Amino acid sequence: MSTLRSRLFPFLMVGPYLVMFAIFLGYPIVRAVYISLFDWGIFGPNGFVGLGNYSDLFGDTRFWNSFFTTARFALIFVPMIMVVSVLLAVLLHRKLPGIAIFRTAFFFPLVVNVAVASIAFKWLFEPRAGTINQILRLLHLPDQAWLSEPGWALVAIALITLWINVGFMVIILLAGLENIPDDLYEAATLDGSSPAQSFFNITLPLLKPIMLIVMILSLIQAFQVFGEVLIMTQGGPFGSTEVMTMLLYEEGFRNFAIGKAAAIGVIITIIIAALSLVQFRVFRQR
Amino acid sequence: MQTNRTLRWIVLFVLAVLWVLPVASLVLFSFAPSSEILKDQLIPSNWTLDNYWKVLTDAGQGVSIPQAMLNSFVIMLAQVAGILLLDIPAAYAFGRLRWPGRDLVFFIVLITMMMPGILEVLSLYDLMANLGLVDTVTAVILPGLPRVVGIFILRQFFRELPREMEEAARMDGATEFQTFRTIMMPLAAPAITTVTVLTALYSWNNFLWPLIITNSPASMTVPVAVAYLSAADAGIINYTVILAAAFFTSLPMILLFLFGQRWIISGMRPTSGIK
Repeated sequence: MSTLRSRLFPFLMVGPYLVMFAIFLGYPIVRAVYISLFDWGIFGPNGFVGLGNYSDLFGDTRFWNSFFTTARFALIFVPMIMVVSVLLAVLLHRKLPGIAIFRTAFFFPLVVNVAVASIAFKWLFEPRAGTINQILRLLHLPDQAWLSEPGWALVAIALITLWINVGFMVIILLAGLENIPDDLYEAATLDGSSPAQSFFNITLPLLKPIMLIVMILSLIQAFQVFGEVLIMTQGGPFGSTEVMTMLLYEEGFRNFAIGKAAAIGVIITIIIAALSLVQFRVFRQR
Repeated sequence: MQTNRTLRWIVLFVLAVLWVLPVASLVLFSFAPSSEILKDQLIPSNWTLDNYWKVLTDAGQGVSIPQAMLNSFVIMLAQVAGILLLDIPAAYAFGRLRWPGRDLVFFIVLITMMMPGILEVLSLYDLMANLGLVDTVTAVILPGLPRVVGIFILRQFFRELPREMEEAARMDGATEFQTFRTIMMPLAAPAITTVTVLTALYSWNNFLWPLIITNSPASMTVPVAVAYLSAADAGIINYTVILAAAFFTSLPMILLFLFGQRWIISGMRPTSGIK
């Protein structure tokens, strides 16, 4: 009797969670893949089309535009967040007067939701009254239309995504820096190595595995960027910020081409899964 | 060495100013009359609380900020309670108990962590429509409950607790549940606090799913209501009210940050889990 009870015990503990998991996480994911195989409209399935939605997408210039926009976004965002987060982590790692305040400034955006952050940046980039153009005018530089200019809009979105996420990356990198023994730096200093030399000869090589993780995490973030785009530019101007998630939203929730939207979702997932696979391999190597 | 420290301080200071700038500008102009906006100035020269009064009474676009705050509080309480109730026993089973299929099941749970949220919302919407729950607070709450992060953090914690404690309890004749309830769970208090804080944060700030599933002021959450205000904005005249709404609705999370910063940071460290 007691052995039966102790055998059942783990399942009683994990059961309620797994039921909720199956209904609200597992099932929706599997079903999204299923939907992507149908011509699925606002009233449900109109017929099985196999991989038809996918081949439609691969022949659709709007889809390719969104794919390359996302890739361009990643190419702007990932190097930017890598450089800034490594710089910040190295600067914040050691004690300095006022360091708690500095840390707070960079971690604070972690608690600001994407709607509020987008409003703050929309205000910052506002062409007439926004702070950035005001400062440019004070410096006698030409002001820009920012969010309504195809060349700048994606950069502006990368900046806000950087502002929101850099704290998370810094936390990860700081944990990595703590694992580098201090003796290494002391020995290097005794050998006459300058701080810059120590950075390039000790910090960077030893931080490389963590930096790789940060890079992959930020790539994943780049492919998932959505709220910022929806609130700041709605994909415009002229489709210059229409990332894949934005196209999915348009197709699924405005045009009710739900099968097609699901196919876009599956494609994004495959890209992210591939990137995450690389990440797991890196983790295992450590 | 001294010049090196000074240089570090200056770079940090400049970056910190840049990081604070967006929020500082938002807060400053949220206290300005809307006429101040067109005066070409970095800092408003007149001050008022009118914008906040409007946020509390009539923010515009039919959106009610007090209602959205109430909804978000209800959702936050329900999700924190629900997630702790589900996650603590489940994470204990994953991290501490032996049962067939455990590692496979945990792997499947973990894999969903890298699925983009936008993949799930399409069929979740369908599911909620079938349950008749579209545009309800309940529909916002439910899909947040199986969130994986808490499981991950708590499992890690349970795994690292010393074996001796539960063996001593077993010798004393405690049942498995008593061991869990009276010995292991109290030990997990720091991890439980971390999960509570991270869940509260997620719950208040979650944007995508509430945006999709709610469309009336009666069920909107705070970020959705704020986004509605901002999207409907025709010119820049109403801007100060939007800024005030953005700041006002962030106050609970700012408080959480001030008191719970170390829990937030410890929850995001790579040893405890990934966002």
